[in-house]
Amino acid sequence: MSVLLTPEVIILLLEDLLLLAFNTIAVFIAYRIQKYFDINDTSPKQYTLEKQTYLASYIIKFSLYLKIASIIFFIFTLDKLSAIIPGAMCAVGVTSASGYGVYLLILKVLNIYLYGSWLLINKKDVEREDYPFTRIKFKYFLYIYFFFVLEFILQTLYFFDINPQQLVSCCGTVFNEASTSLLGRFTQIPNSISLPIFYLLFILLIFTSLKKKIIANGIINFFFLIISIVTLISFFGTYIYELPTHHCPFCLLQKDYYYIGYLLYTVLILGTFFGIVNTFLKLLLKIELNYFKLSLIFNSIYVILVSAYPIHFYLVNGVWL
Amino acid sequence: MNLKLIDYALKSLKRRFGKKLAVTFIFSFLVFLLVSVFSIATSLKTELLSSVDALPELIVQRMKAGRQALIPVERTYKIATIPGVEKAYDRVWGYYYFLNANVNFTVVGLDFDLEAYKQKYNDIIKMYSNITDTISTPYMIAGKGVKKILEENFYDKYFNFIKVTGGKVETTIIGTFTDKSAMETNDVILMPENYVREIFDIPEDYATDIVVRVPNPIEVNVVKRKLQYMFPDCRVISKEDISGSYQNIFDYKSGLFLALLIAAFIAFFILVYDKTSGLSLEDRREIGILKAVGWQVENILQIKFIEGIFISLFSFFFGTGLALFYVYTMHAPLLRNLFTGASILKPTFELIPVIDFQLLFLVFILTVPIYIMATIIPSWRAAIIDADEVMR
Amino acid sequence: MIELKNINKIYNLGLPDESNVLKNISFKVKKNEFTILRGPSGSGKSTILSIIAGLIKPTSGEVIVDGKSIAKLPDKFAANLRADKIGFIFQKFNLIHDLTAIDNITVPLLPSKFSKTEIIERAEKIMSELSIIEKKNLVVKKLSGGEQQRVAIARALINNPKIILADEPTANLDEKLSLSFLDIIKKLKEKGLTILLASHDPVFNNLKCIDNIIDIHLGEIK
Repeated sequence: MSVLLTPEVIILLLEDLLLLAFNTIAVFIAYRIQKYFDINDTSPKQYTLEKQTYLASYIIKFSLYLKIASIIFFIFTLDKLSAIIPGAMCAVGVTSASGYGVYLLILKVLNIYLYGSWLLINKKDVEREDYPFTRIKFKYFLYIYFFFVLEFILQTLYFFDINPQQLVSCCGTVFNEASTSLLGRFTQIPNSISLPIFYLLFILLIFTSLKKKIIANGIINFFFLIISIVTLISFFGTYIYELPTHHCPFCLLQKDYYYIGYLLYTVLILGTFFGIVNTFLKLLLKIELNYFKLSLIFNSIYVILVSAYPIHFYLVNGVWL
Repeated sequence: MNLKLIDYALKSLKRRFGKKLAVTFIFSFLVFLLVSVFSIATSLKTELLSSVDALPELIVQRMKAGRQALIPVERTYKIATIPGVEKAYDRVWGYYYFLNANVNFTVVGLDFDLEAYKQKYNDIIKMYSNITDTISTPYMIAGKGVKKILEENFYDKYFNFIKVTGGKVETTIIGTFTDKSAMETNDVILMPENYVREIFDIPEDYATDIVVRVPNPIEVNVVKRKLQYMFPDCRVISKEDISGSYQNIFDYKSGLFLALLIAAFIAFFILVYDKTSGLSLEDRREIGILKAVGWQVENILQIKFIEGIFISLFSFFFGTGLALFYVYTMHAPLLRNLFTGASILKPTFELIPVIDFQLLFLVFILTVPIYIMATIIPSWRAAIIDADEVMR
Repeated sequence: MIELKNINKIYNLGLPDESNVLKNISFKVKKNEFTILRGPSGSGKSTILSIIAGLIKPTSGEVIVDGKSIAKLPDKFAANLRADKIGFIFQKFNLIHDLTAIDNITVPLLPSKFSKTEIIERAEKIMSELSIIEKKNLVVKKLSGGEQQRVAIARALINNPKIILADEPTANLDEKLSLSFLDIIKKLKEKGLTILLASHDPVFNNLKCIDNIIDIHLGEIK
């Protein structure tokens, strides 16, 4: 039995296909707009283009929300598939069942960042009567569309590639200190190095936010994202599970841990998103946004939450793991 | 988006109630079908999986030319010597085809003195042990479904089995039993082992299959491999295999049905698109007026979106409610055959109510976003109506 | 308050059925002035009003409303303009027939930040001043012509506009109602609103309260 015929996978693929169709409509519109749109033109052609911007924006907005729901659904599906795929005990195993798995996941998160950034530009664009960013934002969308198509292809390949008869490794082996996989190497960085970097970057974030240094803040946010995931896997996660060998980034999302994973990942993604988007847009598109406050708030929530676990553990038990 | 707009959208729906009815109805129906099919599947799966639990860890079946053949009873002793094996029993059972009703009964031979391998049979044995001690003629205990069919065919106190070798075995029906997992025991007849041998012409030193109890789950696969090595002419089925295959079958069958329904949804998509595209003159006029007094394109889109969400949510809950009623109160008259239609005809049974929220979530995520997507372009068409043109 | 400079409007430009509805229209309306746009039907009066309200874009020329140039405003800002500053009374009233009087009147403010109670209070106040408060929960199609017109006026006033644009407001009214309409307009002028009214109804000839009359004929100012 192919993995494909599980209802969850069929639904995922179908909805992504539909979404792709709509985004294709949007990309055609985007192409025409970035080429011909001129706010000072009063011809009927311009007027038609203006009307089409509404359709494209609507589609893109809808896409973002559906993508967010979809990534949650995707993780949920991976979890379910872990019951069918031998050796997999959670989503990690399913992800590693195919070479495409990790890249697909990264791409999905990236696309949420991209679509989110587009909507922020859109918001700024329509605030001004001269719609200053319309052509740029639709040109930008052409690239975003490319990433979406990439994600769609990868996802299809991924599900086709999984062999339900083949044994896979689970988080126990993937995140083992002895592992040689990319993910495994994360746990090999000693905590004595990664933890200080984590907190140091956070302090830098506070600093650059207060001083409103867009570019520095964005770059640091990017590294903060990486180090957060590393430390989550190698250190903080173990305190959430209260097990020094449990390094899984997915098990956090399960009922046993009160679904804390959803909260943690959401605030982390939001925080770093609002930080990185400033820099990205300034450098690439010369648009100035400053969502420093939001970024700082979300990142702080993340740091507090994630630090609370080891501290709580220590207070309760008197020792570290 | 604010409350006042939501209010306007809902009131506007009320005003155009009749037109939206067709779409709502069809959408509800599709949801109904989906939820029904999935509910039946889930219900059956739960039953089967719970029954798997009561099974022994391993079943050894001898195969000849790809078909199951009788297995020598002496192998039981050999198997019992494998480390990790707590007990090994031989089982004598078979399918008896009852011509009049065109159904198969599962006839299970029990030694009423020994402990059986299935919990439920143990209870039944205990229940009837005082009677069985005193009877020397053939007797049987029938499952609920069996009893019903026999009664329909005028066999209510006894039944005649026709032997494989010709002749009959007149069997007294001394009792019936039901089980929580009705599907499993519905078509089962329990009889003393020797009579079963007589009916199916199974010699004393042979049995239908051998079951093996391996108490430690970690050792199951090891024992399985050893058995396979020991008896190359046999296949060894584990509990895990069975539950895995049940899971797969249900997913496969429901996946197939889902694929069909997707085709239906695409048709539905086109329908919704079409229906919501054509705006009546009144509607166009209304939108023109709204824009003339200061509403933005964005606001019209919001109204249309709220309408869409409301209809899809309402239809979803309505369709789901109807489906749950159909499946668990009416026991799904037509659809259940999709799943239970198998090569072995079985008597009918009742479905256990199992409300699986994951399943409902699945249907939700399939149906509602697709509906909304179908309304994207029509909503946009409505929102860009030129105020000026419409009012002239 | 309102200024038009060299406004041209051509429909179906370049096509066989091209029609040049407005030719080089220029005029000014000062704050708190009551101006009449006079001319026969088809002369382009409605088009001018629509352009001022941002409902139509001119083919060329400039439109300045309350200090802001609006000819090239995208839909969103044009809609805001209408919602903020303009009250439009249409020729055929353009009410939503299946809605009640009060619902019709409150419609323009629904997307705004005002609360429902505030909006209803305002609506009721205006309805009282126009003596239609008793009809507030009646569906509009059941109201008489005069009542419908007052609902249309109330709707135009709900957002406290600075400018009132009226397109042939007395076309469907008898003399008595026309005069009562005139009364209402006079009161609005007293309150400080700027009024531009398009009509060829003789009731507006030779009135003291009128500050300016602009004659339009076949898309040109005479």
